[in-house]
Amino acid sequence: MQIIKDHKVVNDQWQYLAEKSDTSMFPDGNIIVTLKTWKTAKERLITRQSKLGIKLNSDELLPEIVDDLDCFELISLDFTPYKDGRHFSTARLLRERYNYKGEIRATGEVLRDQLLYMQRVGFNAFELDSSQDLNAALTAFDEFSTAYQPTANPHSPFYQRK
Amino acid sequence: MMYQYDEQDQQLLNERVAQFREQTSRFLNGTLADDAYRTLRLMNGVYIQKLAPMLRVAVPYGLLSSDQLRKIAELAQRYDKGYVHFTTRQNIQFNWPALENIPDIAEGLATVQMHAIQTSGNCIRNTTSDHYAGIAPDEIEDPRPYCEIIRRWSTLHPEFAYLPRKFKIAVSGATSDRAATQLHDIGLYIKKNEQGDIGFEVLVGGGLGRTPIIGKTIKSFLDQYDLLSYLEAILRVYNQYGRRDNMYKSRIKILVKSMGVEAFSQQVEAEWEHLKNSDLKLDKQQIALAKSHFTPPAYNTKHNAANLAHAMANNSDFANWVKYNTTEHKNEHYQAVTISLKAPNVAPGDITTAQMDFVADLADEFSFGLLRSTHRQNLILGDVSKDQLHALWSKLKEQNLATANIGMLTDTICCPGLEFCSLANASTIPLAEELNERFNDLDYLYDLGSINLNISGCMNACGHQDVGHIGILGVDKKGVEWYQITLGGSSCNEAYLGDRLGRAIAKNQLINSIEQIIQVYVAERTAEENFLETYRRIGITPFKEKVYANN
Ligand code: SF4
Repeated sequence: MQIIKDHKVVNDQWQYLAEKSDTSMFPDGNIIVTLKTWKTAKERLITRQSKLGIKLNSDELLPEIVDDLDCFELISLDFTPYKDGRHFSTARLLRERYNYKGEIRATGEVLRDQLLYMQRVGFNAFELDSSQDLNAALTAFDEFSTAYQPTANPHSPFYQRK
Repeated sequence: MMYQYDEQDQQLLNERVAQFREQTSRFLNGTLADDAYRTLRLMNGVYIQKLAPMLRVAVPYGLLSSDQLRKIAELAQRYDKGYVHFTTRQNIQFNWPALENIPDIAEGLATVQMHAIQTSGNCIRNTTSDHYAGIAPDEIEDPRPYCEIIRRWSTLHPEFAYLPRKFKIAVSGATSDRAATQLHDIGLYIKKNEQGDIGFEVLVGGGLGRTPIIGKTIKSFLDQYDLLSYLEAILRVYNQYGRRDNMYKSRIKILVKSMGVEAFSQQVEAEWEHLKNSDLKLDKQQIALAKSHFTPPAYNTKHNAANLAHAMANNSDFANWVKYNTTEHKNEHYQAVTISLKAPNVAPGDITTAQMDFVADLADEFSFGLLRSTHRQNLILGDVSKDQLHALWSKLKEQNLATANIGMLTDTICCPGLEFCSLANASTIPLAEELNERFNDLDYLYDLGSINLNISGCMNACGHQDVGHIGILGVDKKGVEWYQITLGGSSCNEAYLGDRLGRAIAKNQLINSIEQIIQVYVAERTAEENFLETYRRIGITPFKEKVYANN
């Protein structure tokens, strides 16, 4: 699968691990687990050799994982439905308050027309559904050259200081 | 005088117009899905109503220049049916634009620093304020510079574009509340503390609609420099914890109610701790810069009081107009003039292209080129020399704009209702017209004194019926139009939600019922009492008995 990452269309290096009852074995390679899997198999997950990511559904908020941020090289935040904007706050908190440096990825019903705001609050990777032309979607990042708010990726200071 | 865009403002607006043009063309060529486009167009002020799309244009905190009004007139002539509608949130609505023309309208608006950004949708809406801001004698501090600071912060805010529900902020800077501040998601009262510092009393969770609630104070004094960081903290708590599973329970008022004011404000404080000293903290220069846009015009330093008294003594129509349609100004040589958009046979809040051009010229001639819109759906010329009142009145009369009924029963707040709105249960505009016919004797209206009658076509309460002294709500009874009456509401400092009179009333009986309510008031009032005071004293029972006596 292809995604947009750091303003480029790239092949995804990660795979999502579906929710399952058996948590005794995990595949090799970079995996993204659900919050539930993380909670039940923390110990085994942190001793794996390859990279670990976690996915939060739209109703799973940051306090759930805030003490474990060091364990994740990727945090995937779900937008289902796309109107559910809770994770716009999650991403900003991750970048601005917790200084999280890993990948923050938007998944679920991600619209091309949301990409710029998502980037501004701290997302750097985006999964769009297969019907969308990823290269065309890249232009969404350039729709605005300025902004009023000081966010994770500011274009300008909030209010010109003279 | 009025905020003027800088380069950044203009650039952002132009880019927004280009973005919306592109989104609309993707929608029209079928590459942008219906549902996604719906959300995007709402954030650009476009509703699809019963008969046509509707475009709601922001009038930031109710301030308009004559050039802006002329542009609105030009666009209404070119792309609409030659009139527009002023809403109860000080905004302007086009009722009949074609969808494919809306990007062109937006482009036209952008040439006069206007737009329709965030006038609908689940985002932070246009901030509203006192229509006498900067000129009211009872003002503590002009709210407009702070509204302007909020405008920037809230415009295209990337974190708060997909909130659980719409979000409205109002700011009042005077001792008397004319902005219905307590009925907003966030209400801000400007205060001066004992040290003489300026700050805000912060209220949250007010609002009308299905569950009307009066806002609760969560901070009694917020320093002015902390305004944005504190707003951001409130919005962040709401964005994360407001309900999203049920649109009727997703306003911040429901969150505040379910958490309790205490717990909610603690959570805001905890969030604010982190934000207080962030880049959002305002400094002296930023506030001074915002204030520099709202300096008073070059006022005359005298007027001839004898001339005015003479003109009033010679013409009772003029005298009544001065009495009811003009208001005291901070500057003793000036008066604020309300232009009534409630003439008989006109839908409340509507204004034609010709009238707009006319009023724009009057603003240039009599009031430094500025206008204000009010939440009671009228227009104001804020700075009229007392020497020119008579000349202004004579001109207003020519265009049917001098109806001297401000604050009277026929100065109704009225939502568009069944004729225009797809959510309506019942019509509203014909009721306002019928009311005007029944109560067409101005002297009788003056005798009745101040009565706010507010009408909404459905529970969404765009016509603020819950805070009308008399409130009328359209309710659906199996496809027939019925109306629920409430009495005793108020949106002023002593905000109050009206009490229900009783079961709903049929359309053909409604104006009779209002007349009966008025009769009870006239019979029961003491010499000095207005309607609301009589109601507070005698309660609902006498009104109920009269209205339901025969049915
Ligand atoms: S109150 Fe109801 S009928 Fe009136 S404009 Fe609002 S949504 Fe439409």
